[in-house]
Amino acid sequence: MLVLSVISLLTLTGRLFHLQILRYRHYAEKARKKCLLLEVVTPRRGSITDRNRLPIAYDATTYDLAVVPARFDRLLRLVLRLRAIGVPNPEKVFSLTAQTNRVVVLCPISERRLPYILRAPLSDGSLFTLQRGKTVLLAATPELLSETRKMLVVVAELTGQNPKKLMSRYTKIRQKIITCKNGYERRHLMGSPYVLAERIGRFVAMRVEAEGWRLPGVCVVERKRRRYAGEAFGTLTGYLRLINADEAKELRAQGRIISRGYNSPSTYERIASADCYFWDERVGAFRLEAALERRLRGRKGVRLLERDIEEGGYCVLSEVKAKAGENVRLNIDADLQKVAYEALKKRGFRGAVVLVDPNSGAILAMASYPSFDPAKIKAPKYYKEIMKRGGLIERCGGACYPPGSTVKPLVAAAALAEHIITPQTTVTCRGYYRSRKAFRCWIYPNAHGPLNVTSAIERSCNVFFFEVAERLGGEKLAKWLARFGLGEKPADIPWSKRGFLPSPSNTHPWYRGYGRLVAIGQGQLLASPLQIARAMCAIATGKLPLLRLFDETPPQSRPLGIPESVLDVVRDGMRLVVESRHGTAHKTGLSAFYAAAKTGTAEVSKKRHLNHAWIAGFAPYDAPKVVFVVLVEKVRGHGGQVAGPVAEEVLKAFFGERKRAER
Amino acid sequence: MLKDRFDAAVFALALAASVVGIVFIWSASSTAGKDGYAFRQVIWLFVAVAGYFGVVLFGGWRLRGVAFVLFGAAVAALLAVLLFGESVKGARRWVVMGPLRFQPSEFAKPIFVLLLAHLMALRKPQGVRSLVLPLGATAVVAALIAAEPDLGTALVFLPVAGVVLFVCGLPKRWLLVGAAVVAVAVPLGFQMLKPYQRQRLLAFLNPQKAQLTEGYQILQSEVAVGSGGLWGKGLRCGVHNALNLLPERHTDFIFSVVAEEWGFVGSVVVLCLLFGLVFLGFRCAGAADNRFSAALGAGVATLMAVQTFVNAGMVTRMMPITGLPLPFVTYGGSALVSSWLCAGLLSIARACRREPLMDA
Repeated sequence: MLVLSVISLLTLTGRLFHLQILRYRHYAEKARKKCLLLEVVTPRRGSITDRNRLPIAYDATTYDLAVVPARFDRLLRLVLRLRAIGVPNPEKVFSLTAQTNRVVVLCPISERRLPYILRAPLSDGSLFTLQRGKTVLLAATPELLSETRKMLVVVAELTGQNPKKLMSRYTKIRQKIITCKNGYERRHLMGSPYVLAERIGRFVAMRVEAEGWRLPGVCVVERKRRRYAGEAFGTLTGYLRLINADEAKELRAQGRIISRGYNSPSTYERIASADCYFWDERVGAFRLEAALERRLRGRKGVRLLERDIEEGGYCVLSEVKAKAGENVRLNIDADLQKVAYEALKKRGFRGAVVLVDPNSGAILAMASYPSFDPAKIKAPKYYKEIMKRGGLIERCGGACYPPGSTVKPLVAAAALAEHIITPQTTVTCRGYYRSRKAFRCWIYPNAHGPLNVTSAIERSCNVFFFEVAERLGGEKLAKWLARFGLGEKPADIPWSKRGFLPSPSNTHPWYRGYGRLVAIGQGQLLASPLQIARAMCAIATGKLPLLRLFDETPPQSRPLGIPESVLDVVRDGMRLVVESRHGTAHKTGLSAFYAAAKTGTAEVSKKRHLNHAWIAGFAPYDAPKVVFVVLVEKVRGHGGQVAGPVAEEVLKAFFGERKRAER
Repeated sequence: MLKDRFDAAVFALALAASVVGIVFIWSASSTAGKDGYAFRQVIWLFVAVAGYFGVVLFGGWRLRGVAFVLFGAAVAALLAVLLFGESVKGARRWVVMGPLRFQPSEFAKPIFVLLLAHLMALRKPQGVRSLVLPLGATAVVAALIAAEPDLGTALVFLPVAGVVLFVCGLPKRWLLVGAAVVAVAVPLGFQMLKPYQRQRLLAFLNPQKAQLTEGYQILQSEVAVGSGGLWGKGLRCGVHNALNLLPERHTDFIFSVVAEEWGFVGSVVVLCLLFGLVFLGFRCAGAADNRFSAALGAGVATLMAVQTFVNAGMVTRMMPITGLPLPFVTYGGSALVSSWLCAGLLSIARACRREPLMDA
């Protein structure tokens, strides 16, 4: 046994002797020159565009100017060589200013070391020796000493930067390389590009590339930065943020995170086989960027390179190509969206504007104020401000409100379709329903008098609809409102809310008064602006479409089951809201667009007289091309007065656009 | 008590190897930006040295008394790891207890050697009947560990059992039987290997072909070792270390960091430290008056020798890749404690080699 163990020790020693002593040169050369490196290629993140393919969120390629010290800075190489042969304080060479035309003596040097110092790229005669008695002195031309500085000045001119700033930046890089103790790491630092100037612009980048021969070691590095179309789209697109700790933990458990020291080739398989994230990668945080994260981000590619540390060249051993992210086209019209957002912003209205094409269900605009600029949100101060004013709420589909009187046309259609009332049925409004204390008409104390359904819509009489709700009953009321899409997802938008449609089956206990409240859009009824827009589409066309934010969603709709004659009565009522002297929106300029509309004023706080002001409708009333909904949160004043002007402005833009397009 | 059984030679060799290990764990992990490995290993070293003194104070007789119990506990732990173990890269090798993670297969090694020595002391191995218990124990442990799957560790138990049996007087003709079994088992075994195990073997035979995965480690490790030269590149100056080219270098491939940074001289010194323990073990086995001491010494020595040879062989491309640690040097609490427990057993074997009464 003793013998056996001696043999195994000798075998190991022999093998080590073979590798480390006999074949040392072979392996040393291999280790010195070649190393395998992993390069992860991150693809372009897909863009989000509007219906005219104008970009809303996209990856822009920007250019940074970088330098590779190994080729850029011959002086640095000289200093490193001087240090390697033991010259004291070689760094002082940097501070030698050569203003005169005379050569500068650097240090005494031994003949034996000369060939090492004078190797390429310092072999062009800019370094030479002088004989002083017995000592040999190493001397340099002033051109060599000022070479790097001159090149930096040229770079500064090209990029329009302050040369002094550039110089101090570069000095830091020099310091880092000089103070690096590990020889191999230092070589690595020498050979990698350092960014000196960020975002230099395409033309400057092209000039740098073209004049590259004058500037050895200066190169252009491409980088992708996410750009956004601005504040109007903030709540729609969302933004990018760093991966958070929980996600990183989960990804790590799945082996899908690429950590800091990733350039070891053992990670090749991992990156090639699964969709991996960098530990400091930015991911979609909110709304579209988050919802479409998978499709937008594409898939990382990876390349295994055999790299020559000294020369910087490489060859690709194996590669998995990156897959670019998909582009997503929305039905949004960017110009309309901006107009809608501005209309809210300049009045300081918290709220939402929705524009929909009723025939196809395409969402033309969904603006929500307050919003934020996704490009600026990285700044903590801005982020705080945004959070303070609630900019992260998407108010079109992601928030629900009591819809107020905007549901009255739906209730009227329901009652007519159920034959509970006819267009001629009248109800006399005394200003209150049953008792003076509860269930008043909203313009109490002035009673409306006898009203039929058309004029009840026109004047938004609560008493009429209390009576209708009473006759319909809660069950039927909920059934018909559900047909108009309340209580279900209105659109192909992942975050769109269902709202709440109270009915005897989902509300316990159910009191008879609840039905009356639902009929005037108060009580427990909640709907998002998108849902109201969808219901308006149904009244305008007789079909309930699915609202489509994404161009790729096929148009779908389901029949409403209400005869045209009934809908015509309701449309007439909504038409009168705009046209007639008594109409709740007749003071707005909506009649210029032949619009039919219904206002809504949902009481939020009686004490502070705050309401949600609504206006919803379509135009032109005989051949609807657009459905509009405007909601303004918590304002004083009622629907037509507050939301009306916003709607007018948006419609103006819409029809102006249309005219231009027709021309 | 402690004076009689404490063994300065064993302790010094083990401590020297552990310190070298900690130095290189620091060197290898700090360049990867992962601090704390070396510190954790120092903590484990204290635990391990405490374990060593525990074994030495406990003494041979009392250890024999609990040998079966310990073995039962080890088997239970191995079963537990199969049932509830934490899966790392497809193998269940770890048991997690609160903040601690340990590897039962490591602790099975000293316990198995102890049990074997106890069995040898009870009965001299001669006929088929006397082989039932020792070979049965070997089969159980090896099978449980192979099921994790950790074939490398499982296979270590076979030479240990073989050497112990022959040292304790098993007739030489059984050698032929053993050789025949191995000759049949190897080709059959290759068929039964898991795909990744087969891949490792093939990668060893032809590393250029499998350059990206298994073969990559072997090639890089070979270059790292070869470029170390006579004196090495100095601590923390290895290219493969600095440029992060060697995966798993603070665990299974620590020896290649040693060879790259301390060169031929340093790596031979480390090997001599480890083989010093092996020599002490075999010398004790040769000089012992009782089978317990002989079996214990030979068992520990074989365990050390096989692990060292396979690990260093793997790093220098003489052996396929296995998960076997380099005793005392490789990063890992379980492995370090297990190695020091083995050192404790070796001290006991050397202390009681002149006590014929240990047997039966």
